[in-house]
Amino acid sequence: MKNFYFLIIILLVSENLFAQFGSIKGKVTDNSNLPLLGANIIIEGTLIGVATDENGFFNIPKIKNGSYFLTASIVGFTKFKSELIQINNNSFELNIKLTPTSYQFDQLIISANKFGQDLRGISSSSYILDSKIFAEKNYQKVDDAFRYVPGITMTQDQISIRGSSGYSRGAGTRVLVAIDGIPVYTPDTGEIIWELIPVNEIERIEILKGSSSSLYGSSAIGGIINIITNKISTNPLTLVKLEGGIYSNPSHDEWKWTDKTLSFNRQSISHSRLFGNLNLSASLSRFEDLSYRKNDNQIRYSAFLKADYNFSENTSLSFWGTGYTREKSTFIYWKDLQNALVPADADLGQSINSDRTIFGLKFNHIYNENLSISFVPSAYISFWKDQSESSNKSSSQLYRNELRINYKFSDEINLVSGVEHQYNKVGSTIFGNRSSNSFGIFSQLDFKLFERLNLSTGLRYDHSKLENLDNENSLSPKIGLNYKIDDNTFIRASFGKGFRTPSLAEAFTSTTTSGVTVKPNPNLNSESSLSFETGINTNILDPINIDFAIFNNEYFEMIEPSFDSFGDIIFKNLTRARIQGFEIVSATKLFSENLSLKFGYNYLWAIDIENNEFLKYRPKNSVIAGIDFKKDFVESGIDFRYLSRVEKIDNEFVDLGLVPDGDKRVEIFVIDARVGVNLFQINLPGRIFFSISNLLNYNYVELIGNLAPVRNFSLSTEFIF
Amino acid sequence: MRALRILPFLFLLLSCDKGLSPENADQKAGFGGTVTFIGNWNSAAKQTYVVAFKDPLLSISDFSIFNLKFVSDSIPFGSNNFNYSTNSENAVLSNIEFGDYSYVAVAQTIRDTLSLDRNDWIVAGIYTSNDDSAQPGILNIPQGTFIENVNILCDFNNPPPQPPSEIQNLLKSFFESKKSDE
Repeated sequence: MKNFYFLIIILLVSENLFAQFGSIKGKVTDNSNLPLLGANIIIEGTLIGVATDENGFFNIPKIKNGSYFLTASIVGFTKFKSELIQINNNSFELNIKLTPTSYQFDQLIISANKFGQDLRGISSSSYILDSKIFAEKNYQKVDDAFRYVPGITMTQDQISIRGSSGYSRGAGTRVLVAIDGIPVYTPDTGEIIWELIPVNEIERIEILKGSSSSLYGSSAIGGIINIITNKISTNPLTLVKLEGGIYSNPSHDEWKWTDKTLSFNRQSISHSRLFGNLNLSASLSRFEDLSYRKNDNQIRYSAFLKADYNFSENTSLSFWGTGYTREKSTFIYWKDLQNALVPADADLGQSINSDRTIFGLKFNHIYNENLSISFVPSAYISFWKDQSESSNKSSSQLYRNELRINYKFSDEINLVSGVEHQYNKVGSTIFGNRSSNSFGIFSQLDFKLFERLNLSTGLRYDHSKLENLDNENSLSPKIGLNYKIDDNTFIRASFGKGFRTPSLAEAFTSTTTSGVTVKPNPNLNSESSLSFETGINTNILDPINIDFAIFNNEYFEMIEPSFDSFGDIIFKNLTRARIQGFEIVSATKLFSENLSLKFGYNYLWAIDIENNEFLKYRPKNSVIAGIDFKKDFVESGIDFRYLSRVEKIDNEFVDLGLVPDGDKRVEIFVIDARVGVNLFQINLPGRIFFSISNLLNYNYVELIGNLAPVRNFSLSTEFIF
Repeated sequence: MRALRILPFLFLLLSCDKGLSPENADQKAGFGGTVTFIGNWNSAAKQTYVVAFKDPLLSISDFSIFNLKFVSDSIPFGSNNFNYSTNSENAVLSNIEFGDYSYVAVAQTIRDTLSLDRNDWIVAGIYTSNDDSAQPGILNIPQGTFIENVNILCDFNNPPPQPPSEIQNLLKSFFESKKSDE
């Protein structure tokens, strides 16, 4: 075996020793000749790529002699493909001008089928979030952005796409969140820790609505969110970002619990550069929040590292890792509505310390223009300990390996196949010493049936074993169609089966916190779903784009937390549920792209069929709207969201007296506003943005006994050197 | 100037209602009174409490955590009198809202820990209405009102009728089966 590795190294080195090289460099600008930062430059058919720096420059060195096409892309602009470039020991220079696109046109999405496709050509509803919003809206966590995505609701930190989830106290997720395709749910509770995802390192976020278990397996039963990280700049680039903000006084004097000014602040620094064939990017940040609520403060230190090494134009190795250490006080529920920003007396002084790290590695090799193979191992290591009377703690690890093969029969036929293995291990005072194993094999074929008709068929088999629970086997088929009526109109339909195995926390939690006891349920089974959706995407009046979708999702043996006759919580395969609805999303850019408008409406009918009642924490109506305006280097915007009052919550918390006034809730009605200067537009490498969240200081809850953040003001300054 | 056109709209929004407010909170309703003990305490009684149930105790399933709304702080062994209040910070459980409470009583247990097993409890006294001093009285608490003088007499020599328990059910089914045999 040693000889085999030695031979590979010799081959790789010798190839580099004797090859002849050139380079491609240039600049990427927009229509007004202003430089574009962060545009992705890729040599087509290879794994070689870089990002432009603050002046729009890029440089790809050490390109083996030959003929290449170069592509340049950035969200919001039409993808550029060069003429054939000849490299023969020379340095080729190319200046690229990118044209802005109408909203959501001509964008690529890779999450849908694990290879790049036109956004409007896929068979299910999707949405792309541009990283620009994190800089402009001063979002501290990635999930803050999802509150303005049509069809997504957040109940505190728990995400739901089209009503897939209610609230389960952090146990399990029905939306699979991934960084560069690697899932990031915790090994023990199976939840998403949003603070672990570094907002400064995000290039874009791809959101797929509806079950995607046929490709991604368990937890993708309600959809996928894939966070794509920035490509590394080859020119040395340092970014310094400083943010600070204050909370305004609560709108009722009764709620004021301190005379101090409550503030939050964040400092981060990141640097990227090229060392030979190694592209490296690293960042450090510190975040402190005194919070608008008592006993809700936190301090967090986080780090991110990304490295790409190109052995050749066909073989590369990528690594990324992110981690944080955090100390956070515990605010579980308010004392009562008279004391809405103060926790129950018993919770005062409690806190949780947590250390979490994820590593992901991707080895990619292109055999030829039709065949490529990827090996993707990853590890998630998590530890937390609370400072409560019971001193709960949990140490857990998740190891995952995926081998994926992409085969392109022709431009019209694409096959993606792979195998995946995952092992979780937990040692905890509340979950016990547990482990789980799962294995999946999947294959998906995408092809043009006719000139205008794309067909996508996929099948996945999963086998999972959760400690001493019965083996679970699941077969997840999927079929999808996309028909291009003309250049402006696409219709689509998809049908698929989804499934989700219970998390270790759902099956084995045994603890008491704040007077609430959670009991284990070793008889828990996987839940499954049948999802159907159909939709149309059209430009009624160019450049107004409208997307309309209707959906029907049937859930079987849905896992929900419920109360037993002793008032204790236990996770059960509670019910058969049906979630139906429709969604309208519209966006446009007017006045030479200076004015952007967006609108989204989602109607949800989420019924527990067995008990003939509405599912918990699902608002029937939700609306989002946004206006962005930019003139020269000044940019401004207003965002609005509305959610109707949720019909049903965990009333047992109120009946048992655990959350006084816990039944008090209203419709949600929030406006955020911002204004700032994008100094890149005047050739200065920086951005300054002022933002107001919850402009009206409107008081609402997403989760019982938890008042949402009061109005707060923030200022961010970002400079690149 | 176009931006100025949205100002009236913003003004309209700013004048809207502010969502939740402390005024939405329920005024604290409740009740309290004195428990008077007559006779000798049973030495086996480990704990004694005033308890309140929302719905009547018609079957053993009514003895549930969802029906139990109040458990006072522990009454010291051997007391002659004990003052209680649902607003006491020492109460074990206090989830009193306005409305009717069908069963307010003093209950004793031989256990060291609190248990929700009906068979662990014996009722030593009940709140009764003026009309019928032998039956549980319904206590009505209007919204935002604290009712005083909800007094309970515990006569250890003359205990009140006991709510349904498994033993009673067994006896009942035994006698019913006996009757049908005859």
